[in-house]
Amino acid sequence: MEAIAEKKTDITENREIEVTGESVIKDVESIETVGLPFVDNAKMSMRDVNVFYGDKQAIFNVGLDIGKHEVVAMIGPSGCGKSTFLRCLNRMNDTIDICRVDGSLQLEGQDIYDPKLDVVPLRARVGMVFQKPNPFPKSIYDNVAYGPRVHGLVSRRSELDEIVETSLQKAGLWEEVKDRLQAPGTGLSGGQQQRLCIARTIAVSPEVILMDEPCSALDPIATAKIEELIAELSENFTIAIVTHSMQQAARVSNRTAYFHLGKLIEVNDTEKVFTNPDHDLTEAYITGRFG
Amino acid sequence: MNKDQEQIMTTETSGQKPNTIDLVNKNLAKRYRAEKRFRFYGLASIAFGVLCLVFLFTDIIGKGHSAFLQTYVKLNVDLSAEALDISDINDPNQLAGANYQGVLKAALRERFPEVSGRRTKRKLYGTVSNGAGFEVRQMVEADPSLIGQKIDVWVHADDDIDTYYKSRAADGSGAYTGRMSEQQIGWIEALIADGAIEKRFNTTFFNAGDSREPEQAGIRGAIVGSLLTLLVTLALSFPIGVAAAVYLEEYAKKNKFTEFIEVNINNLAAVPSIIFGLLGLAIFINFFEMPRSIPLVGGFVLTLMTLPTIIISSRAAIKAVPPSIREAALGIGASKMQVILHHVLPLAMPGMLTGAIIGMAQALGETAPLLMIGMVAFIVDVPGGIADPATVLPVQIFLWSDSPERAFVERTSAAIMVLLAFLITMNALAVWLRKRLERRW
Repeated sequence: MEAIAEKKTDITENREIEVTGESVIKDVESIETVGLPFVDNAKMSMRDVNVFYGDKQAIFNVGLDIGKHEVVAMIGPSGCGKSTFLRCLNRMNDTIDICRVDGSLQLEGQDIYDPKLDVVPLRARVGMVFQKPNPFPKSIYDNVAYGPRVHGLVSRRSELDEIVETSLQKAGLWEEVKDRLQAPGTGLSGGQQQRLCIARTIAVSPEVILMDEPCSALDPIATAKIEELIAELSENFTIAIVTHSMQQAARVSNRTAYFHLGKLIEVNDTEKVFTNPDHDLTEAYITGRFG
Repeated sequence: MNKDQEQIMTTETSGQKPNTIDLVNKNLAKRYRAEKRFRFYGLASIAFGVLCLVFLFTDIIGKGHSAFLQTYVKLNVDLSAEALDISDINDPNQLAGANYQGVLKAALRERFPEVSGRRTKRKLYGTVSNGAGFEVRQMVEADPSLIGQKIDVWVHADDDIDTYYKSRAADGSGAYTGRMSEQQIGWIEALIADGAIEKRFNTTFFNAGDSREPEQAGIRGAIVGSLLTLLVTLALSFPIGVAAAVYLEEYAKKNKFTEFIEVNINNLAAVPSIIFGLLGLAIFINFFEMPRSIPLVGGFVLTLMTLPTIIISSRAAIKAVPPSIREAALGIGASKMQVILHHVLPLAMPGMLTGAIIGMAQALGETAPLLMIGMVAFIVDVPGGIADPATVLPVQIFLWSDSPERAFVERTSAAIMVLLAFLITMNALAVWLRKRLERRW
């Protein structure tokens, strides 16, 4: 972990030099988020979030709302803290011993970092799709059925069958795998595996789906399928997606948040961010001057 | 390197541009030679190892193969009630206590009527094993109608005769006589001429416990003792080892204390096994006052010895489970225990089993710690449970290798062969299990 933290500082330091070199910004410390970070019908609302890895601070005073049935994209250069921030939203950072999270993070008004709160139901409400497709080394059926099983959502086999089928249908994978549900999930192609992981996530009917660069390991065709899927899923789910691809952010999201050096620089409607950003740093990033 | 630089310099001074490909080609031969040498070292090491192995196996099999055969002597025995010294042939007590050794002696006297004098007669009686009477008893008890008949009976020959007959070439030369006298050799040759001596498969070796008499000694007691000891070891060390590994890998906070435990586990894996024997002696026998030489205590001691091995290999196996699988399960909302039970342990199982079986194989071959807790005792009976006195295979080998009788030499080697067979089976099982469990995609 320390090694990663080290690397992070390296990167950020480089960026700083680069940025100051371009004289886009003089003082990174004084940045305030510009744009529209807060919405009225927030599903999740985060205020003054600070995240530390040991002594190193990775996230500085981030405040952001994720509205109901909204797709929020988080973009920014490597090491800017967007993944770290995403992983705070269902407390996946708990698995890292040295990670500490400050501030207020609420899911429908409930503090998710309340010590009394159980992470198990939280993660059932806030599901996650990871960067690398990571199906369990089990059958396709068991992959999707795993969540409902551990949470005890069903009592009969027929109900489970139904959940598996609808989840796979929602993930757009049903037609491809309906004849081989007992085949190993790891035997699918990369794109299919990622859609299987999405099916697995939505099988427990979460309210929010977090996606950490879900297409970075996929080819363009598989990526297009996932993007289509995200658009469909946004009808029923609230989605936060971290991506390195600005085109992807532009295609799938309603609002886009730009992170830089652990700070949230700008949040605006996606169209505005990619056409007429409020902040110079955002403009520098989306026009490819660094990143 | 210096030469190369000189070469470049000379080419430069002579006005020619140094050609990279020429330099590369020039060095190629040298590089290939070095590569060949490198390969040869590896090959030589392997050849050395194989040679040692071949030597070991030739020696052991050469010495031990004859132990799987046993020499039998045919005697024409009078099984009349008078000769057996019994009055009621239907009384099992009398049948059990009848003078079977006596009728064998009589049969020998009848075959060699010229023998006289107490000492010579005793030598003659020594032709057959002094356990031969039991063989006749078993025959008669199985079929009481034999009483009153005079029949040919095959009984175990004494170990000296056994050794003599096995080492003897077909024409009667080259035999190992040992402590046999000319007279005895004469009797044996006479019996051989009669066709009254032959070799058969040695069932005693696999069915009997230890004995002072080589022809009556077997490894059954040691095998059963070994199996019982291993059973105790496996039943304790695998669950304890896996539980400890899971806790250390999954739950324990990284701090000075866990580091201290980790260093200690690694150290314990390298501690000489006899120390564990002393520990077992002090704790289980002296403090808890458990009986000596029982498989239960042996299993405890071997558990202490194999635990570090199992913990280390289990931790490695758990570490090797990809973090993405853990994250996937956690992300769905599985609890820590569910992640471990549903995903980590099944994926780590092949590695943990391999470690356990290697630990068991190590325990099977362990001698020193068991000597400390009294499993070196001379035990004739096959143990019936984990609280019966017993010995184990390697200790049996150690005991027999110490025995002066020539016939124990081949039995020692045969016991080594049996031990090796067990070890090879266990290791093959480890490989098979790993393959099988890994193939579940």
